[in-house]
Amino acid sequence: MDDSHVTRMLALAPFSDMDAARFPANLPLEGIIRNDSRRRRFQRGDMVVRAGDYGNSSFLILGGSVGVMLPPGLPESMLGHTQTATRGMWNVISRYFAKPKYPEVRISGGRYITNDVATRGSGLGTQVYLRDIDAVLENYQTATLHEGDMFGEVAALARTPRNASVFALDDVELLEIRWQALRDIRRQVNSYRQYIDTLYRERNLITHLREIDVFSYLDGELLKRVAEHTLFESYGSFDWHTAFKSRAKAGQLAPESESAPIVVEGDYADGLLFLRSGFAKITHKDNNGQRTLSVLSAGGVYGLEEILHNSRSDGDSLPYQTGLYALGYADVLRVPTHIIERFVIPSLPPSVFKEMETRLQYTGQINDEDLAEKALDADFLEFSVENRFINGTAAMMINLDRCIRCDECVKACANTHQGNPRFVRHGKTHDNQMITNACMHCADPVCMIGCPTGAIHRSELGGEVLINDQSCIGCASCANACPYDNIRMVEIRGQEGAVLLDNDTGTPIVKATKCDYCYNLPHGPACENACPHDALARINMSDSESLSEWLNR
Amino acid sequence: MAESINKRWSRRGTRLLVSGTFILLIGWVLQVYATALKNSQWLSGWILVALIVVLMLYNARKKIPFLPIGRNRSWLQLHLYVGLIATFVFMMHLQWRWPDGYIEFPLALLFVIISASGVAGILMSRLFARRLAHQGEQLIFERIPGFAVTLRDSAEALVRDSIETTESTTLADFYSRNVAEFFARPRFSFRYLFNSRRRYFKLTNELAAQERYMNDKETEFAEQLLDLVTQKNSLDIQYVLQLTLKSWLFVHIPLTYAMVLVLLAHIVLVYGFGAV
Repeated sequence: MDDSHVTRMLALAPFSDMDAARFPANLPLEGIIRNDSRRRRFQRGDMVVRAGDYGNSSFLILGGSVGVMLPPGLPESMLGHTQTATRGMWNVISRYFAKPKYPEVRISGGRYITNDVATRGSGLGTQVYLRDIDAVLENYQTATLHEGDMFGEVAALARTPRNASVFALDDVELLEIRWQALRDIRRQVNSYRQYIDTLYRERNLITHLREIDVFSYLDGELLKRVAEHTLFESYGSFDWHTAFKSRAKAGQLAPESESAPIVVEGDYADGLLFLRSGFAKITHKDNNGQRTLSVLSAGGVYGLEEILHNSRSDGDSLPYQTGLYALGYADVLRVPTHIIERFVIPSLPPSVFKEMETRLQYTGQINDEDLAEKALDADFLEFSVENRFINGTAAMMINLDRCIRCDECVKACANTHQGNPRFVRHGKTHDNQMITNACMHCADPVCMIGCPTGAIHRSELGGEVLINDQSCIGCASCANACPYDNIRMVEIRGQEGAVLLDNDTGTPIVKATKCDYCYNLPHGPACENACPHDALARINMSDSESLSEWLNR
Repeated sequence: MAESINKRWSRRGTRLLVSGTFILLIGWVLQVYATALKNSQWLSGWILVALIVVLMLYNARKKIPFLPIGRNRSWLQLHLYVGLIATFVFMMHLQWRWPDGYIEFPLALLFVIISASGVAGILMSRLFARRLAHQGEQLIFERIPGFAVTLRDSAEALVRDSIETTESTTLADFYSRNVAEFFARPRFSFRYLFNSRRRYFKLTNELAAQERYMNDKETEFAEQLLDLVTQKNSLDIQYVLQLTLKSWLFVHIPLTYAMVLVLLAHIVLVYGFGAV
């Protein structure tokens, strides 16, 4: 952004209300706007954000107005998403027998299948728009945002899916602000922090607190009091995957220094921590390093044992028995200890204390026994943390002691995907376990950030990460972002085997492909069903119980 | 871990018990049939045909992965234990005697070969998978020839480099005399199936013997060559084990189809000319 535009932005609210002097010299407000924001123009009907997309920016309306889709929102087909209904048996069988002779054939009945999504432009600059904006306004409920309004901050800061679609109602000028700028401004400007926090408190916090077991004993009023005192913190970097990927290409692992400390072992237990998104590892000091004891994923709670213990002891205050470090990034809710003691502990039944005391025995010094009890191989845990496999909710694990390399899994995958296998039976190994190059349907799907048409998305039914072939424009933003190289770009063909060419450029049409977890088959992933030697399983890497069960069979 | 191993053995024990019960039950029914002066061979023959059909369904199931009719691992277990039952029924059908008819003899021989190949196959699956798992980098079978070429090119480049650097042809002579053929292509040797490392030790010993006559620079190159020899040896082991694991089915399955043809002839002849 050039000087004149930066000056113009600084004169606009909310930037004009911020005290530029509060920003440090090495991170001035003017620099934040210059480097971490850009102006974008949209025409009437253009989609700005889609419900369900993961985004890393928010928007300030500089001119014009936008419409916000109210529930139930636009149908999946209009968002460029795949229809996620399970296929009928007849459909499955007929597709199997109609398998094309050549790989990646897309033509059906002599024409290339397109969907309802209308696009303009090409590559990363592709813009999706609603064909009949008047019909949309007539048939769906919408709200209007005007010049000076902001939207998308909470989704950008918390890395949560957008909860509504937003489209331009007329010619609109927007300032797109990256999450880094939002974070920096939030740190420096109290009023802005309060504004964001209030938004979050109003829209999401109570729902998130209700997910925590220990708060389930509170009535609505007490929960509201807890919410008022809850602090929001974020650690690490949203862009962890960029550095991780370039290092992985050079054969390096994520260094320990990249794990931002949330709690250092031995710190005063000043609050109950709740991981809202991202990952964190619980560690124990071992010589000069930190040994990983377990991994906390979204929804995980940390520190309850120490707080409960301290509330019952006389002056014998127990600090945090372990360390907590963000892996990549972690978004944390911190409920201060005095709030827990005042509102939560009085409502807890005695059984909770008993359970916590037992658990406390297994934290800290004697955590080896905990590991032994759970029988989760400590080396494997470090391996999955260093390679960030913890992100996978359906990682394809192969027990090499049982796998006879018959490729039945690959054949089954090909047979259920028109002759095109959607994974490579190859990948990183630890001891007798291989994690193959198959989409892991990550908890933090960084591949979904930046898709210009919304072709890559989460399914409504099971949450699998899917690519809608018809709305994919082959820009490779997902393949380039995937830290595990599990998305492949392929040239598509006609029924006679000829590569299809783009009418305008004459270049081959390319599509992104990957494992879809057989989301629309009646019996789950074909690879897992096909393995005759029980050597392959799709595992949620955050679920230590099923992981240890698999590792210790 | 111990618990899961116990569970596995307990499952195996249960399956064996169920199979044994079926075998005894079939034996008892055949005995009752014979005692009633009925043709027990007719009954055992048709039981065997039914079991063979069930055994053949496993291969058919693998070709239709989209049908929700149970996982392949369950089908394999069914295949194994039905195979075990079929072997006993086969022996009962033959009345524990080896047949000598023009059709019956090849039919029985095919059944024995198919059963033996099945047993060999499952044993190899269990043993070779573990050995493959401990070969370092896991290679996709189709890519092995490509890796072999890369290793050969590296070895040849190393040897050429040694000539230029050391101004000696000792290593190059040794390479063309003893090692070049080893690097030529992926090598199939039955020795690898039995975990023999004779060829590898012979080569490395010969190379070590040559090092006596080398200076420091040449020894450095010889060590690098030794490293490549080790890599090629691992590549060959993977090649042989994977090829064997893929190939045994080419005995098991085609012979099954051949057996079915002979079996049909046997049934026609029995009904045409036998006393049924």
